[in-house]
Order: sequence, then structure tokens, then C-alpha cells
Amino acid sequence: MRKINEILKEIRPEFDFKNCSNFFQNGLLDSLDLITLVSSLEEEYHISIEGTDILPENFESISAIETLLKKYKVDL
Amino acid sequence: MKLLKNDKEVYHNISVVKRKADEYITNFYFTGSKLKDLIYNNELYVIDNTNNIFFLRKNDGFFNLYFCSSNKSFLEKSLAEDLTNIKLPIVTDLVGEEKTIKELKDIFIKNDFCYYTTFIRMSRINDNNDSLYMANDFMYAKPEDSSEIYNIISNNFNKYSEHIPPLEEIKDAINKYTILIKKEKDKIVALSFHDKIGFSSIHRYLFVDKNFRGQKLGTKILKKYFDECKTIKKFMLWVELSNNKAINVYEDLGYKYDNLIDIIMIKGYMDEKN
Repeated sequence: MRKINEILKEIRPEFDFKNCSNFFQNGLLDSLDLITLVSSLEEEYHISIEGTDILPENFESISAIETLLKKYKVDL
Repeated sequence: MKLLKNDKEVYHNISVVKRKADEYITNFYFTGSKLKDLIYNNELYVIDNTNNIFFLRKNDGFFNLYFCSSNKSFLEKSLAEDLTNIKLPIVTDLVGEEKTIKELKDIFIKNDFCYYTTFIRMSRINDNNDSLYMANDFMYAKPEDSSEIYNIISNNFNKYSEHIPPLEEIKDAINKYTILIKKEKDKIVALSFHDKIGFSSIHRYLFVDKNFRGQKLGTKILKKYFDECKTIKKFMLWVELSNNKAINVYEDLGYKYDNLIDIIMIKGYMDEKN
């Protein structure tokens, strides 16, 4: 299973996601990337993320994404 | 078709469709504060069933269409059945990599949409090694320039494919120092309009008055833009695929096609392309 950072780097290879606390406010991801990220996470971890969870705050950092994935019982 | 009153309704509707999805497809990318703004401004309508949602954004004499579908068959069925009462032109953007968009494009064509145009996304990584344009003949636009800027953009860009910003958005951009201009005899003859979020910037409009072309003003104002954005790591823009002249300028400045395209489809469109 790929790590979250690898998935993020596939979307925007030029950025350092590990040291960023808010991908959206810092311009590392935009709303178009969010759709790609949701789809990549669903494919990688075999989950379906609820529409009610597709909010920027759930994808704004690696720790926020980890928290979300744990909600979907993903073993990280 | 009903007006959306809160964002929770949007997220709930998307959840319903996603739960049924075996191949979820969407071009709806509004979320967070942008979504709240659209709802607050009474711009967003919905047509929903359990397998497909259409969001329609009211624009200047037409609707922008966004979809969230359980799969392509449900999208096709809804395109055939759910849009029949809409009398204004409907414009939709199919965004993605070329190979994944073609099938979607065919579905829209089968349902009375016509191909309108294609934009490609180009991006440029800032290495801060550029030789920049340091002259001072460009300046930031001021609040009193907002109406002239609005007129330039609405008269020189396409309302269906280039999302003309309302006057308020232009005033806001002026306050954020994201519009550069060059004036001759008190008239704007070149303009560069961009958005800046953190380490990324999207260039939105580049304009050079037809009487001032051939002087490389476009290149010069873009260099000034780079110079004013030294903290930006990634520059992006969308350019019409047929606009070879602009693409050449962008390539000379280090932009490269990054494999993302936006195919614009229109239904019920009668006028000549402006």
C-alpha cells in the first residue's frame, strides 16, 4: 500500500507535503486536486468516501487525511 | 430544478449518489467557502435523483452544468431526461486527462450537446533563476480602473469558456494586487490578471490592445508578474488549444503542457462564438 505522501506527490510532485499544515491555504492543492485525491485514496485503500466527508479540512494535511482514513477502518 | 439553500444538502446528495456508485464520475469541484458563497448568492440549483445529481450555476444568460453520477449510464439517462425544461444554453466543462474525457464527451454529444472548444493546462515551476523584466512601465491596477478592466475582459474574452469575473471580483483582485496593467494616454493597453494562493498562482487573463501588439508587451507583463510572485513555486494557466500564438509565448516563458484538458460542451447555444 502506498503511503499518503506518495499519493500526494503523484498529484503535485513539486511540493513538500510532509512539512505543510494546510495544503489548500498554502496552495499545494486546489479544488480540482481534491477530486483527484479523493479518487486516488478510494482506489488505493478500497473505500468509498462519503460526500459529507469531502471537505477541505479532511484533506488539508497528512494527519487530517490519516484521521479520515482511520474513520474508514483503514489500517495505516 | 430547485435553488440550493445550504451546503449540507449538497454533501448529503453527493453521499447518496456515491453510495450507489460503481464508477463515480463528477466534474463538481466546489467545496468549503466557495460552495457556501455560491449558495449564499443564490447561484446554485440542483436536479437530483438517487443515481445522478446535476448542479446548475446561473451565469450571464446561461447555466454552467456540473454532475455527480453513479456511473456513465446514469449520467447518460439523466442528460436525456432531466434537462428538458431548461430553456437557457447549458455549458459544461469536462476536465481531466485526454484519454479519460473522450468517452464522457461522446455521452454529451449523444444528448444534444455540441463541442465548443478545448483548453489545456500549462504549468511552470519557479526556479527563481529567470532573467526578469525589471522595468517600471507596468503598475498594479487601482480601484478606479475596475470598470475599464471589466469592459476589457468582457469584450475580449469568451463568457462561455473563460468565466468572466463580475465587477466585485475585479475590485477584490485589485485590492489583492493581482492585476498588473500598462497605460498609454490614460487608457489600459496591456493587462495581466492572476490568482495567488500560497505557493501556487493561476494566470487568468492576458490582454494586449490590438494597436500595441508586436512589441512583446504580453511577454513583458508576464515577466513582471513572475517578478512580483517570487514566493510562488508553481505557476499555472489554462489556454485555448487553438491559440498557438499564446501557447508559443507561454512555452518561451517556461510553461509546459501538464496533460490536463478542459473540453467545453454546450447545449442550446444559438449565437456566434464571441
